[in-house]
Amino acid sequence: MTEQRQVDQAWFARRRRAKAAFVYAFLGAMALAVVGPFIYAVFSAFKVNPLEWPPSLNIPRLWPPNWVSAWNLGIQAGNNGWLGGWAPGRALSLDVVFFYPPGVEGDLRVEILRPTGRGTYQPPDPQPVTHVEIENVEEHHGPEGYEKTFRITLRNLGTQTYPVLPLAVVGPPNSRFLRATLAPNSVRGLGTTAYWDNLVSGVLGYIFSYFIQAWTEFRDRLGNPIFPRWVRNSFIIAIGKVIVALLFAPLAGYALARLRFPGRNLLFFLVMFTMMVPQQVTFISNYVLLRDGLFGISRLFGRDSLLNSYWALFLPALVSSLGVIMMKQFFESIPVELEEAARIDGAGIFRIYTRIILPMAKPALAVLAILTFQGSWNEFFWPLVVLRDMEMFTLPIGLLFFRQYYGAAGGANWNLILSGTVISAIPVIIVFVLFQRHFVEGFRLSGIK
Amino acid sequence: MSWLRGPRRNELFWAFLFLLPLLWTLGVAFAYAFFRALWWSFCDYDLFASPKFVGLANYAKLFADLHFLKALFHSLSFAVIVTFTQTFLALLLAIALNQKIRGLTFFRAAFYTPSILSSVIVGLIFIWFTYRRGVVNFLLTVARNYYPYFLSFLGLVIVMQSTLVLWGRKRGFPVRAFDPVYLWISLFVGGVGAFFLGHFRLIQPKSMPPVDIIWLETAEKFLGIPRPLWAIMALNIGTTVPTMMLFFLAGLQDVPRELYEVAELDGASWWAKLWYVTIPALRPVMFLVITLGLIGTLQMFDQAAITSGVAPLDSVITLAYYVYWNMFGAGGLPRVGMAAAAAIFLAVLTLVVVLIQRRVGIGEKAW
Repeated sequence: MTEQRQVDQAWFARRRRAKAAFVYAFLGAMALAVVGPFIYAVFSAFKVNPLEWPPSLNIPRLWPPNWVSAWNLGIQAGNNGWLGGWAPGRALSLDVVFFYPPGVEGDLRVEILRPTGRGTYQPPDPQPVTHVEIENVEEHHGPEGYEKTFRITLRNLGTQTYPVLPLAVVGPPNSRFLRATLAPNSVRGLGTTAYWDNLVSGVLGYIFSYFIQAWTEFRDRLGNPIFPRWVRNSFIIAIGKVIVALLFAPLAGYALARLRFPGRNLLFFLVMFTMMVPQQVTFISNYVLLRDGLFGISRLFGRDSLLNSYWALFLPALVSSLGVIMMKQFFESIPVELEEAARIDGAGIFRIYTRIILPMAKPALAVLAILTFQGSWNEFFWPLVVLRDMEMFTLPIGLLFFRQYYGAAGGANWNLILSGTVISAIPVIIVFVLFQRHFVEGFRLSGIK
Repeated sequence: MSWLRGPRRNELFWAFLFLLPLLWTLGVAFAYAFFRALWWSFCDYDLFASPKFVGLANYAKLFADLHFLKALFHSLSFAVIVTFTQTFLALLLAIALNQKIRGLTFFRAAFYTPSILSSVIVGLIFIWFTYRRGVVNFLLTVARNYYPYFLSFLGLVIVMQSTLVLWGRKRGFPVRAFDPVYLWISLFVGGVGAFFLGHFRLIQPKSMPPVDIIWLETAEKFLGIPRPLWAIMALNIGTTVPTMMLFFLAGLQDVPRELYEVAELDGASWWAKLWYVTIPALRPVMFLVITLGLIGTLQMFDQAAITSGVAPLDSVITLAYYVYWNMFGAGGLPRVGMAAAAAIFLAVLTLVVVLIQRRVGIGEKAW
């Protein structure tokens, strides 16, 4: 048995540092596990098929050489590398390489077909008037067969500029598509057919094609894109709710914190109590209340029912319990002497509130505004109950509808669903990044989410 | 005292004015709604014909309804399992990681991500991850096929660590079994070793078929609870534990150092310090976390509604979703009476569970 050696401070310091390194490594791994799925979802929104197996990070849309090709095609088609478009009289050419096993003969066939959101293809509208030339420019012979390079040249013979030029290149049976100047969107038909959604999209149109598709493709009965409407609805409601909360929650919080009136404690207890009662209890009556137009009041303004309107989202919960509790706690934390001094000077309650209290409450109001915005932007249950028409949906309800529409068993277009998801997350992410401190404050005040 | 009357009445007037919006919400959207729901829970009502009083018939029908019984079982097991597991894991992690952490803002931002995004975003990504050929099954496949690598890595780490520790002790250093400096060395050696074993083909990945677990589109059960519900539980626990851990960490930082020093003077072991100093100090935080956790999980609606488009209704239905389903989802006329009865039941259940938790006293009252 060796005797215990006397170790110095440095030895212990090394142990402490190594342990700290473990703590940070672990926290980092945890952060990755939490955020990783979201980051992977953002990447996958650029994929042709986010349900591919095995999942990979090989994403043509995020591969710079393809950006160059998309830019070049945009220039050839109409001098617009960013946004594309096919001008009259302009020609563009695309090199495609097919593999021909021994015994396979025949030329390529080219068709102008547009993909639909549900995994099928149809002619675009307007159908471009095109002249197509296919030229076999190169052949490489190998032991197993040969590689043929074709140059496909498309000339716009029409008189208008076309925004979209989809293409399907079909090889003879048993041939196999290998590569092209611009990576295709999908390869089907046992490898014989390569599809491009839009050859003249330009760089931005190429990279963000699924975002653009999610934004524009899904339309209402009048033919207007519906996704922007959802974004607009979400913004109107969120901003409206922030304004309402900033007006009313501090009022109630101040009254509960400072003003003396009978039943104050009972009222506060009731506010706390509402936090525990599930929304499922109250939504039935509130639904009927709105359907009947708030005891018939809305008839005076020519509406039988307030369901399926912005009103339905504002009216029942004018003031959130959480906001009131937050503001009450804040007002109780500021010293009462200021108000007393003002009161001795003869200032009235309303004057004290607007001149002294509100200016001091700015930080708390910021927290309230941010939490209200985030809460409204993400609200799910109540909009699900009262919004019936697609034009009135907010983003969460719309996205759920998106999943049913695009994610159905047959044509699973998860890239569109994920694109919509990413777009809908952007505002909250921006708010969070800008005001992270307030969020943390809010979570602390509200306990936990 | 008549001089008081003027200002007092003035204050009352302003208080009333200030509270008007709150009174509207509390009075109409809450109290009136609450009592109407209570009334309708004793009625036969379909939103169109006027309500007919039927006494306790709706409550009796609830307990004869298989959907309701399933929803009740799901909600209870969900609440108990999720709340218990997430509190336990968060506490464990907080104790393990307890030290001054710089750059916490960064980790906090990462951990809060699922909480700031809408449940629909999280739910959709969850559905996409749990496809038959989704990321979850892919990761399981990788884990299964590469198990020779993991095993050799683990083996090498254990061998290396024990060698280092024994060597260190032989030289007379006070080395613990999990000495952090040595553990980093062992991990490095294990990683490099496993890589080279694979490089020289001494171990090879297996090529077994992909893992084919169907997570959502199934009625299969595990331990009596449907598999989709297990998946939702895992999602909930996974997204909550990191934030909850931050709460506990904050609570731990507030424990006075002197308490530990006194305990050490008394010769307290690590376990004794944990049990008699750390846990009691965390009780207020724990109480808050468990109460809010129980309320939130008992009333779980969003994930059930979102996944019910994929998973069978009977596998994900919860009490809150059962209420909604009776109003809008069941086809035919809304069964308002049943929905109201179930909602009242859920409210009472929440109250009872929170009261029991208070009585049993897991943690002390914090507010």
